[in-house]
Amino acid sequence: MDNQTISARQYMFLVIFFIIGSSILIVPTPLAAQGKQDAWMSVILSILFGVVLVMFLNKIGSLSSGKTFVQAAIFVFGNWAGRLFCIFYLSFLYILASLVLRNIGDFMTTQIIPETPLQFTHTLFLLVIIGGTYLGIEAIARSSEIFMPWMVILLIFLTISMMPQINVDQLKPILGNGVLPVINSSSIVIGTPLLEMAALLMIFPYVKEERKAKHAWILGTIIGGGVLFLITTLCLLVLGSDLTALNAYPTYRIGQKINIAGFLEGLEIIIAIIWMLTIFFKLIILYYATSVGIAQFLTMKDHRPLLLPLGMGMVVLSIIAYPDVAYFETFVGEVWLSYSLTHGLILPAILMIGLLIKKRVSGS
Amino acid sequence: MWATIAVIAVSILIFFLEFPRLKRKKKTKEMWWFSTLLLIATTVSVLESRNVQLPNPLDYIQSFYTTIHSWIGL
Repeated sequence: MDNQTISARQYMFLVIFFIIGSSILIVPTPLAAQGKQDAWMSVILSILFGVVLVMFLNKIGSLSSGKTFVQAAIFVFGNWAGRLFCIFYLSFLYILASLVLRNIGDFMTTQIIPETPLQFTHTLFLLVIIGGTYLGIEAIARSSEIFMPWMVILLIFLTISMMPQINVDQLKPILGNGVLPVINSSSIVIGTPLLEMAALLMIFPYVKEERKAKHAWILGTIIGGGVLFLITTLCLLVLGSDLTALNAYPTYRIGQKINIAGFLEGLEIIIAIIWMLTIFFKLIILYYATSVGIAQFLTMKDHRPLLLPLGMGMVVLSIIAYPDVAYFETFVGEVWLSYSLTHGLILPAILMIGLLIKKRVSGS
Repeated sequence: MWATIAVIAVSILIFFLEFPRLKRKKKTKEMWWFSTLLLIATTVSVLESRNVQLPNPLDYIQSFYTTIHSWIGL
């Protein structure tokens, strides 16, 4: 789009935020429900899968040589088939963005500001996102550098202040139910943040040095997965698997248990700050990817005029998406993995095959 | 009623915020796409504010994948 570049380190920060954002909120509950006290092991399995996935996505990034996913698809499959291909990818990004918006809206209305209607929370949050997207990827990347130390400090503070309440017995018996539940529940983390990383293929071409960017992507995946591992393990150690599975927001619940020497309490808002920061970045990446993708799809030179109309549509979509919590749980539990698998793995795989064939044909 | 008026007011505001800038630069294609998208978004928002039952794309996704799952026996 516009001639902006970001450094490999900034890209790594964006990847970390992308992985933590919103999954830190919704992942521990289903993990503990399926994996019980061994849920922490399944996060490690998922990170291993994530590294392999990122190597595969890296390969596509270098094959498409400076083109975003949409440009590469149109380049490979031609004007019509390529556009049809992109409709699936872009609708995936748009729906994903509105679901992420709904996550933060649901959390705010149930836990912090219960009397504000959902529409207003969504609109206000989205206005900031639109402002950030308007400024472009450079501004987004620089702000990620500013906010990363804050998130690290808050995470360290949270971990240290939880130390007195940790009970290692909560993790026993290790592998009490066998290996199968661990493998099954690893699909949760694979589906929620890792397969969504196909969205980052829209940003990958903006990173300055490609070789460094590949390392940054892998490293960012490992660090982001490590934070998810830390949070899940903390929930299990403090609450135990049963309570974690029962709470809608177990990470918020452990924040409420912080009690330093009897006078420092009610620090759960620290966790809420971590969430808002990470979800902000996840949503801004998705929104940027969607709007730039749609602009390239329509062969427009600038994505900025599209931002406000797309935002209006997104507020409506995020509100009608989930009629109730039960719908959300069945959708995420039964459909989401297949949906993100088709759009986060199979679509890029088709693109990669196309790129390889194109390269072979033009090379000979 | 007020919600509908607010939605229409917001879309008029968005229109006058972006459209003159595009017109000054004579970007005809951008002008068309922007207006089309804004029209779609406004229609959907107005319908939502009138409490019309809108089709939920997640329903279609869900029924599609449930069919696939039943084929491969999940």
